[in-house]
Amino acid sequence: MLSRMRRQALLRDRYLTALHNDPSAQPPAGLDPATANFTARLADDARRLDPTAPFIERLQRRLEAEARAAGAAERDWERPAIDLRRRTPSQPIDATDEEIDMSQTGQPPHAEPFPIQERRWLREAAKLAAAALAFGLVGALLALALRGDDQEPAIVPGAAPTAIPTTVTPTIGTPTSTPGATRTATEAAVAPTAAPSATATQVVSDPSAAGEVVATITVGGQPEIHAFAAGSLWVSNAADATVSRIDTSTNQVVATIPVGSVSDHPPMISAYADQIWVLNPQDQTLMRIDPTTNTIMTTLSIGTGALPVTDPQRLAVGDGAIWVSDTRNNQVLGIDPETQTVVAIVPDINLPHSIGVTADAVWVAGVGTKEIIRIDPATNQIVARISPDRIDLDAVYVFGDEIWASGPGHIVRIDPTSNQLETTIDLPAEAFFDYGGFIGVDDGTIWFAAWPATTLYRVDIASQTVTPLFQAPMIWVVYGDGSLWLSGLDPNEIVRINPAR
Amino acid sequence: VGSALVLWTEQRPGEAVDAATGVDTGADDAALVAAARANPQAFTSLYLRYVQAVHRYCYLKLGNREAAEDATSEVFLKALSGLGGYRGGYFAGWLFRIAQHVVTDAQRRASHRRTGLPLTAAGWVADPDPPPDEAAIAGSEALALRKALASLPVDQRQAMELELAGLSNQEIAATLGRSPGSTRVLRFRAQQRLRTILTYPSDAPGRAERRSPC
Repeated sequence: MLSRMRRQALLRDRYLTALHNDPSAQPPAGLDPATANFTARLADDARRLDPTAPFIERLQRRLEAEARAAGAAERDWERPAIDLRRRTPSQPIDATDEEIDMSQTGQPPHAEPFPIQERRWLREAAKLAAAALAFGLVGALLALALRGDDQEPAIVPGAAPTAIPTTVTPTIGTPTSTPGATRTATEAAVAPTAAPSATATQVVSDPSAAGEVVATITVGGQPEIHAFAAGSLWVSNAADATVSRIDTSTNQVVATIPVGSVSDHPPMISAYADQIWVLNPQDQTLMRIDPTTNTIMTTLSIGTGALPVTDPQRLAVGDGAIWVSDTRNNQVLGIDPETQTVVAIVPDINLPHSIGVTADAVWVAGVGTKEIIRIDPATNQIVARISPDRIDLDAVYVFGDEIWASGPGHIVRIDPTSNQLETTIDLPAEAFFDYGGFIGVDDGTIWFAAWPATTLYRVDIASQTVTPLFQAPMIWVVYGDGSLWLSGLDPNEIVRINPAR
Repeated sequence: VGSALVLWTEQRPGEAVDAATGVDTGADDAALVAAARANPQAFTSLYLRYVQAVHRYCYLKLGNREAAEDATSEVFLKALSGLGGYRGGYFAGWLFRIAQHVVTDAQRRASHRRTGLPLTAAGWVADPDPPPDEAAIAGSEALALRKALASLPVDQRQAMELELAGLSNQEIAATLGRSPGSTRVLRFRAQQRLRTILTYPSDAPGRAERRSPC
């Protein structure tokens, strides 16, 4: 049966290739006519999605212009890196701006990443061990089957009856007897055929399913929650390019601060102690908010100068530096907030995106890397590239001294002493967690909003059970001050929930 | 542009096939990447090879032509910038990871506006005025296709989206981090499932049946 399916799948692929080259191509002999017919219709539909010739030409011209500019721009890393003298004239609080001089780089960059040869041997050893274990398991299963032992696996005590448990090994289709696939006891107990979909479990749309709703707070348009600092939650309002400050003791908005131009790229916020910094990717500006006056005290332009930042996407503020992912220059910049000079340029990071800071490390995930990169801020060198087998990691989150990362189908915790994964949570297909998801972590519990499934899930880390809580059009979630803070349920609101465990 | 389209049809992804094994080697992409690294203007060849696939993918995910064009532009601008850091493997896998990020960002922004949501979230949309292009294709097979895809399990949906974009099985496998064999079977199962969802009432029996030599 399976071999026939493989044969048909192969013939179908040949037909697809033929159709790509000739829309009137005939199906190969042996391909089921109904399959051939449907394949041809799908190929027809796909052609409706083709770009127009004017668009192809227009974008080609733009890329060629960019390529010419890229070829002409010689990067001299020894020169001063960024001219940050340009102010943002639209800021209403220009009078409070400081004099800015960022014409000096602190240290030359170091392009060579730290070689991590040892990890390869460890990986190979792990592969051999895994193969031996799998071989043993298959043998054991065969022995059990021959004995006719059909005893059901035990149910994990305390597992939520509606939980969607995690799978240890991904399976394809109906996993009832897929060779080589293992399932958790919980999965076997509650999902005898395939993991139930979020729809099948009838996830509700009521946020109180996550816990007690203690406050609904009206902020600006399209809010995204970013940082806790100075007794407050700092929210970026994408629709009007403002930052709302919410006093977490009263759940009241105490300030709304303009932070530049409105665009499709919402402002990002990061804080360390009482330093609150905002990145406006559209204006390519960094702004420091004074929490005593709720005004912008400094505006740094990072989009101009000898080494302009291109497409800055994220920032993270740590002790002594603001770290910015300079995405299209394939590097991360460190900027000293006191001297307002560039103190680090860390190249060789493919399209860096999310970024986080701990006491002795900077953690970066890149769009093109599928790995988490660790930078030593003392030397500004890459000291580790964490790329576990068969897990693509494309987002990193730092909560205190905990480092979490995610990628399609996985949330992992990284041990900062070994740079290895210390926790791996495999998500069921319904909770597929691509880079657009957002997570909040408290002791023993993770809440994450999968995207585009738009469901909030709770994960019990110890038992690795994943429970859908409720659905909404869009969910941005953080955890702080004992509460979950959610945005996206309403275009102008933040919801505070004391979570049920 | 005419030459661009000819180039696409003559050198679409998946043509660098090992004669002995029938496996797509991606060797032609590697040569183009090397050329583009040496001279950024040579990136045009990679662009022309993949613009159709990336645009199809973005259109499928975002549901209207304007958003698809914006996203396609962003994908290639990022790819041009990031090419220096590309570390080998299937170029299509790398390129479509960028595309997935760009599309996800666009969907996130759209979700804030409550427009252009992915169809998996369509039940939440109270949008009396859909974007013009979305309205134009309403009722068409393209919209029906998006809806049908949205009802597939995530892994099958992703595989079919990349197939409809025009990627080869090897490239889809590289993008999804799966083995080529399991990817082919996954896609086959996905299309079988789609057949139960997606019907073409205006044209039965289908043309492939009519064309079938037997």
